Amino acid sequence: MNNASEDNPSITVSNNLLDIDKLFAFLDQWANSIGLAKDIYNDLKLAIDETFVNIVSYAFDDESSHAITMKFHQSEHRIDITFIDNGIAFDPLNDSNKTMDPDNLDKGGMGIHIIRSLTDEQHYERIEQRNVFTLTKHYTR
Amino acid sequence: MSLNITITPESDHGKRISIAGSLDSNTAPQLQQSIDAEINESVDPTVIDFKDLDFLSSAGLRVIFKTKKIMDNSGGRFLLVNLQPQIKKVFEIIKALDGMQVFKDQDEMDDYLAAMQNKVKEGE
Repeated sequence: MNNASEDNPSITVSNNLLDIDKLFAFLDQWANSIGLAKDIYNDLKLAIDETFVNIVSYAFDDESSHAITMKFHQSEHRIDITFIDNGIAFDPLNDSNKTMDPDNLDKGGMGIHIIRSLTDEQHYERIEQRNVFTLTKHYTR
Repeated sequence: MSLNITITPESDHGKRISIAGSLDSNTAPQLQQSIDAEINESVDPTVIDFKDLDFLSSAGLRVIFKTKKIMDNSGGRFLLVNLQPQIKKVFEIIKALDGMQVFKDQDEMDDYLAAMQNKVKEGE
């Protein structure tokens, strides 16, 4: 399911935290193919990690294996990364369990804050029983 | 991605935890185990050496801040050294650098520790 050569390359992995390595390998391949700057690459890599961990941790309420698809779309001044899964409705942007308390950073809640800081736009939609979450990074070549 | 953890003694009753590779949701439990085994209230200072750390996510940060809490509670020093730019940026994003002792390299940390030592001597 790796289609790095297409205009909208995508990869599908399962809801297993170890599969982050597959997403990173896919990101590496894509970043190399378009000559992505290192600082943008670093930002996207961390945003992808935080998003994937959130989806795996909160979007599924059963023990079965689920597919999570990650798609890249690049245009002149922006990169969109879309995550699609068939879990329960879960909007990472409105996760009330997770707020960042500066005095209690050991309790977590930093993931969403990191995602918001590293990307310029974040958009969640529930479409036909699927969660569709898109991160956008503006950039100039 | 993997994480390598090396623990070495520091002057006084300190310990240095050098982390290399990736500190993320998959490897954070490994670091937590090492910290649980090695760091307690009698350790001072605890130094985290980030020299060869390439990637840090919020799961890793949680372990770092849990460790800081142990040191805060015991009054021990908690020192971070050798942060690469992309690692420092993560700390900046969560606005955590204020109130933490962060040194760009070993020399800067050695100067700080020597100055602390002199202060203790002057007080004797």
